[in-house]
Amino acid sequence: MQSHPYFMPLLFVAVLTFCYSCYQRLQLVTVGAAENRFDRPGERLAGVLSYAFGQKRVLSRPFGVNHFVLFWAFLLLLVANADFLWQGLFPGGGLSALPEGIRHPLEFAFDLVSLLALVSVTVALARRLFFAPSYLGNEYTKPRSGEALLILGMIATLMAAYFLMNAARLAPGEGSWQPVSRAVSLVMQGLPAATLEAVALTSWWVHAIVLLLFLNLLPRSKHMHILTAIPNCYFRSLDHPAVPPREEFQMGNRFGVSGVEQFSWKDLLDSFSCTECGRCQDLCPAHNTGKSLNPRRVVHDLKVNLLEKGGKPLIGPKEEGTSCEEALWDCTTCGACLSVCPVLIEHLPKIVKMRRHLVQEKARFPEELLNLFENMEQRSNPWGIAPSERGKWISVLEERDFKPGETEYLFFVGCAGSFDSRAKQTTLALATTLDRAGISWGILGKDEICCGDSVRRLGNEFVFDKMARGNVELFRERGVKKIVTACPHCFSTLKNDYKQYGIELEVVHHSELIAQLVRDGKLKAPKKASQGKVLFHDSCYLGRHNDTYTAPRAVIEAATGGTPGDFERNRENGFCCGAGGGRMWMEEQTGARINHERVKEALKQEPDTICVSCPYCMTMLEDGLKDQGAEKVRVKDIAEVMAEALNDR
Amino acid sequence: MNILVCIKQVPDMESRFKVNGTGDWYDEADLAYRMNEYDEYAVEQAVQLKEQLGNQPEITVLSIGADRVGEALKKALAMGCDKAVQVQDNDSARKDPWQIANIIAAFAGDKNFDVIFTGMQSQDRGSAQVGVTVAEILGHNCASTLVGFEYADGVVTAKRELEGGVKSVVKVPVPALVTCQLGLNVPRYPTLPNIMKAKKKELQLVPVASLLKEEAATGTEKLYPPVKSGGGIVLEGDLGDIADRLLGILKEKTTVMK
Repeated sequence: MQSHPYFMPLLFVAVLTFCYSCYQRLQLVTVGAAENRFDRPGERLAGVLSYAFGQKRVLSRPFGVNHFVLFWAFLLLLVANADFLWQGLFPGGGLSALPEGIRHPLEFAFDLVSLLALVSVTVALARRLFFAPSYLGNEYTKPRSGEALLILGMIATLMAAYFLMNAARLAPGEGSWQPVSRAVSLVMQGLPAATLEAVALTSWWVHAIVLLLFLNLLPRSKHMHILTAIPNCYFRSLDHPAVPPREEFQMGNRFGVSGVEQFSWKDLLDSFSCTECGRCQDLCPAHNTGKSLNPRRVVHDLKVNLLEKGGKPLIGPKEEGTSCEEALWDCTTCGACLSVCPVLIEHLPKIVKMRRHLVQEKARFPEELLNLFENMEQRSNPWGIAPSERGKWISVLEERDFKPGETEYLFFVGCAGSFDSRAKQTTLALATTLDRAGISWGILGKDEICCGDSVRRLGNEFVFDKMARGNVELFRERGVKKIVTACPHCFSTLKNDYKQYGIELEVVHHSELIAQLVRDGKLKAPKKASQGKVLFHDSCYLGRHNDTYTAPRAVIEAATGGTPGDFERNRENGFCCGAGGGRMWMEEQTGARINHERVKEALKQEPDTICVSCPYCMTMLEDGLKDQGAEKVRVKDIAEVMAEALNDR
Repeated sequence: MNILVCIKQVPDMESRFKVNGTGDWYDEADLAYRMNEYDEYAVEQAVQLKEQLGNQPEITVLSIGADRVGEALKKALAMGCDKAVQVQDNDSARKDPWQIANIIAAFAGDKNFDVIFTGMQSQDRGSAQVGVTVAEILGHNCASTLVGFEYADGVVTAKRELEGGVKSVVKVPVPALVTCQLGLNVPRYPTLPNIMKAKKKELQLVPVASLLKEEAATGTEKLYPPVKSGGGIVLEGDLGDIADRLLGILKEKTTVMK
């Protein structure tokens, strides 16, 4: 076949416009602030292998298999299509010049893989048309979105044209290496040579034009992810993604984010990597209960805002390209969106950055928070109780001050454990359990200050910074090395956030310590305390944010002798109690209550006891049960369950 | 326009108070301090007035006390006051309201303040004397316990909270002094850029001796907590048992069951 004189200029223009579109978008990414995502290349590459090439997160949902097939088909067909374009310019070159021993296996692979791609695209089309899951659509897009159908149609056309083109060119008896094309050729058997030639030429042009259109549609649609998802996996946050960066409190600085240029370049790259798969939306507790927030929309709006070059406010009225304040305050920072995103987009830190702007530069926040911030600043606890009361719970035991050089574990009791009457029972249960295991522990009493979790997630970084520095200084002064805490919020903040202050502490959540003591034989519950049918509720800051799922379950098993049951949504897919991200201190006015939703999920299984490992979850679930008229279901902390088993002699 | 706001730094009312060694005031050890709540309304109203007048007025905020009052002054500056004055006095707790009012009046005397804002009273001493006495000494018009404030053409329209839930509206031409009460406004949360800017604003230090020429009119004899007149009983244990015991107590010790 001769090279067509129109093809070269066509290809040239198509490649040029493609490059221009890509350049335009990458240029937009560079308006973002600097952020170092270039360290530890080995770890980053390993992530790319697992998340991008291994499609680890994609495969966590059953339908992900279809994407896995399509992804790998794409990679292989990238070679086939590069060869196609090359041969369009230089017929007889490219792969066709290779010896048969190499060419035939390649042709065989391309043929089969094209069929796989065609099947998987057809399945994807059928899914969007006939059995679309609810989370594909939302208020700005629908499963049958023209763009998605167009792209899928294009891919299907490419595959069909590929088979027709090959089949028409196969001489009778030829093509044993291309079984699919050969099967198609059998159908066309007996057609005159001129017709076959016309079919071959037409399918070649259809293939060429659709391919070049596809190339140009990519950067201008959500299919940009084909280009950005792999880099996005490479530049992912290696540290804990829920930990937002520190801010520098200097005169003239801007605080938080109110415009796209204040986001980091990686935040902006995230927006071009979103495929609108809807998994974050599906899992988000706020979205699920009819609130304004949809994490997918936050990322989508960021992209729209960026493409309009900041012509719209980033935070403002609810319209495409703008995040509304209510949505930003809806976030419980549960991290479901982070943990489910197949391309590792970091939704949560963006929300916190925008909250920082609202709190610190505008002093605009739900009015309940005024009281909270004042309590935190004045008395270093959310309830505003006198700091001198912090160590009072210990009065029923003997004094237990942390003594530098003598005490092994600092028991960081936290605000809830010190002031909330229900959580104080957990505190006592843990204290007696540690005593039974012969652990050396002590407290800071009235010197302990709040870890700052709520204020940090709420965007009041200035107050968090003061608290964190205060605690870090105190830990250094007292020579604290090991910390145990019964609150996942304290746990995660001390363990992950405080690293930014140059202090490396060995922080354990009480579930981990108790599980360890059980394993070491230091805690034996001779007579298991039955709690009836037990369900375990995963706390977001223990589970998703710190990957601790087995320890609390092991504690329950050791104490009750039975494996606890799971909620329908558990572990990585767990559903927040509604109190994280400072939501504990705010009214929940829009939509259904998150804790009601969670309690209803539990009640379906008719449990006797719901076990928790977090004081906030305790409050939210107990309140939820009361509201649902199901007070007979008890909520217990894992430490209480263990303490009961130890005392049940 | 010239505005003065007088603020006091008081201990956090959530603190546990102890009587000091000399038995005439509370022990200051282990206390955390903050701006007197009523004075926060005063600062907020002053800043709102400044904003209403196109940011033209200058607001001076004044506090009397030891160096720790600098924190309260900084907060007022962060909320929008323009300059601060600390009347340096390590013994301000022993000054009576007459002396405090005289210090303020001596400072304000030649400065032509059109409106002076103070809190209705302090949370720790609670005499509610200082504001009105300053007005008296300076000869300014005065309205106390404000829950509403409007200003137009040199006249303050003040809504005052009287006893028994009755409110009154009075018009006072400037120069005027108003004392502010809960319900007047919601004090703003200072933004971070304003907190930063506050650090650069002027803080003038004035020794108390240069302003105070008056002797105390009253003195504190003794400070003591009320004598305990009996404790409460907390019933614990089984619900049915508690109910029986409660019934017993009601029968024996009260007349409600008879």
